Amino acid sequence: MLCKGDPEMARKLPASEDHRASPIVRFERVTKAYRFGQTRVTALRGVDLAVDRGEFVAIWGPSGSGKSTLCNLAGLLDAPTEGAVWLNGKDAALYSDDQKSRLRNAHIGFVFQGFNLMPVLSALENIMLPLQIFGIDASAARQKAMACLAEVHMTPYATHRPARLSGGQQQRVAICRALITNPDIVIADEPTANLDSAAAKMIIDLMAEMNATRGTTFIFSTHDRRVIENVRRKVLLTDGRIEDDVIV
Amino acid sequence: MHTWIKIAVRNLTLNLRRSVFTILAVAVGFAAVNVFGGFADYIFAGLRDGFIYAQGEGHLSIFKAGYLTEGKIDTARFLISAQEQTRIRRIAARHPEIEVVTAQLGISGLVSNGQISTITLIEGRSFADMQAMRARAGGMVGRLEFFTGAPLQDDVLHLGGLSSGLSEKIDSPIGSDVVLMAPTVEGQINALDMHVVQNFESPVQALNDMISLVTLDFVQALYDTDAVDTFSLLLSDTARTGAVKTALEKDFAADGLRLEVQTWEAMSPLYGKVKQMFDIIFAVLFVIVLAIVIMSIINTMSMAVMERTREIGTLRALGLKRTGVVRLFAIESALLGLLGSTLGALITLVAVWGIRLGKLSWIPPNFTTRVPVLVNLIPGDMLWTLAFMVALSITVAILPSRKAARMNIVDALGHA
Repeated sequence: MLCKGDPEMARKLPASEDHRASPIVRFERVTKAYRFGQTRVTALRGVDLAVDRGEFVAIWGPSGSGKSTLCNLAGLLDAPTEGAVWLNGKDAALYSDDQKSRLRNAHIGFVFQGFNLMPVLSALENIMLPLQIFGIDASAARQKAMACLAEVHMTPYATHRPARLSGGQQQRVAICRALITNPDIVIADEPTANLDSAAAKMIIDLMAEMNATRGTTFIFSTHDRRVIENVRRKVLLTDGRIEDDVIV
Repeated sequence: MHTWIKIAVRNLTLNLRRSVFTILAVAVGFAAVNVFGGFADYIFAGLRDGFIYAQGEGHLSIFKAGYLTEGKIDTARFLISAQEQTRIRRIAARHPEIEVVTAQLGISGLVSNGQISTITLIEGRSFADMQAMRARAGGMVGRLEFFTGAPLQDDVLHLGGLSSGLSEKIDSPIGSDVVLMAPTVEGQINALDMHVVQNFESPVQALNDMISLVTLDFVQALYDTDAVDTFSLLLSDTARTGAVKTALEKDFAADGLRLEVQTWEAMSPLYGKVKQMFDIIFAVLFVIVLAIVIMSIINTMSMAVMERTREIGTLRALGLKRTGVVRLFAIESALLGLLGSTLGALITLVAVWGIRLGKLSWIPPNFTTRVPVLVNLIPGDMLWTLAFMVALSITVAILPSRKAARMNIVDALGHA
């Protein structure tokens, strides 16, 4: 099993009483608009979408369709202009900034297109970081991070800083960092965009394995065919609206 | 906390040149404040000890009430009688902090070598008491020579000293004889012979050609009185001056003595003026140093925050709270302050030792002889400066990092 995560952190998301029945993430008439000076750009237009636990979903579509915006809202990185995002049956708007931080830390993992590893930390230290933000002591965090690195065949690179790793290696470290807290959802924004075919395949297989063995929900924002062909649900976004929603 | 310190240290080393310049700015500021502070302290100590020990004025001076305002015109009305002197000594003996109690009498008159006569201020002192006071002087004052020639003795009435200027003025070097003339308490002219055995420098340049120093018995005989005008008290601890003054005032009042007690600070206006001047210079220097340090750290931290906005977004996405982001940059800035202050302390030590080794000398205000230029090392002030620099560094870092922590996370992640 890949990156078992920390049992101390394996608490369930705070939820409504009927959380088992409700989707893990639900968008309710969500509109998101950005303002650039006098110009208002609407990225999402009244989106309704529900993602259940254990799903392996790709949000796909052309550039500017609102894929990343949707992922940001699901990951509590941003708030909708209109409508509501429900996380495990609870309106995310009801959480304070600190509560959202805690939720992101313990229950949501992120994989970014540009890997976003801390340049001054080694691969191992980058993976330990979410655990240390949670407050787990360094030795326990190191042990778990080493186990996770071993799972992705990165043990020889544990002390390497990101600048000395290839794109595929960095993304494997980023996935370890996303999974180390045993999250309920992993939000992956264009995770394979900067990778060659072999590295991309390995990353996709890694996440598919995690989804299959742990039941972790994965939401991808992508326009990479290699990802879209491997997911079980494909949500097509065009101009901020859901145009198609297919379960394979 | 260890993780955040590690990240801060590595980020500082990542931008080594920028960090080094900021550390140097803090270090130079630290050293400037402490070297100047140490020099000012050395000067203050010199002025204080010069008045208290070298001039034998002690920590506290006791006068008849009104003496300081009217006594110079009509000294006789404000003299402390023999009976009052006994009562003062009895009361002083109750206070163990008082180490030396000495009386003095000063009158104005004429000094003549038989051909030339000039005005003189005749100071009558107990030389055993003065010696006891000077023996307790430390620092710069403790190393000074107070006179040339032979020491004066309380039991040899006709021996005296002249200030160097007066000695030259009336052409009466050591070994010569002069006549001191003054009116008695009753107003009749009296004269006594004095054999010059020493020359000394007056602490005040303007008086260096006016002072004759004699035994208390000599001046009392000349003035035809057994009274004195001042009592000087030396304490074991300068810090106790205020407390002993208050206690003595109470004791004198209870004993029916109409006396006033003044501290050395009140009796030495030069100390206050010089201190005020140094305080103003120090304040100006401190403001300049503060501005340089603040601007250096703000520049460094603002650059760091701007360059690492994307990193801040990532940390926030990973669950770091806003306060955590502020803490991260505060630690980084505190390290700059700490390293800068530590280097500043080393520069201060080197400067202090360098000045000592250089054996520089100068003539400070209130002195007529050259004294060594020294800088006192004040560990308490250095610790205070270190704490201040670190606190300042943290405070300065909070502004840019707080702004970054409040940024929209998506905007921060998208920062180029």
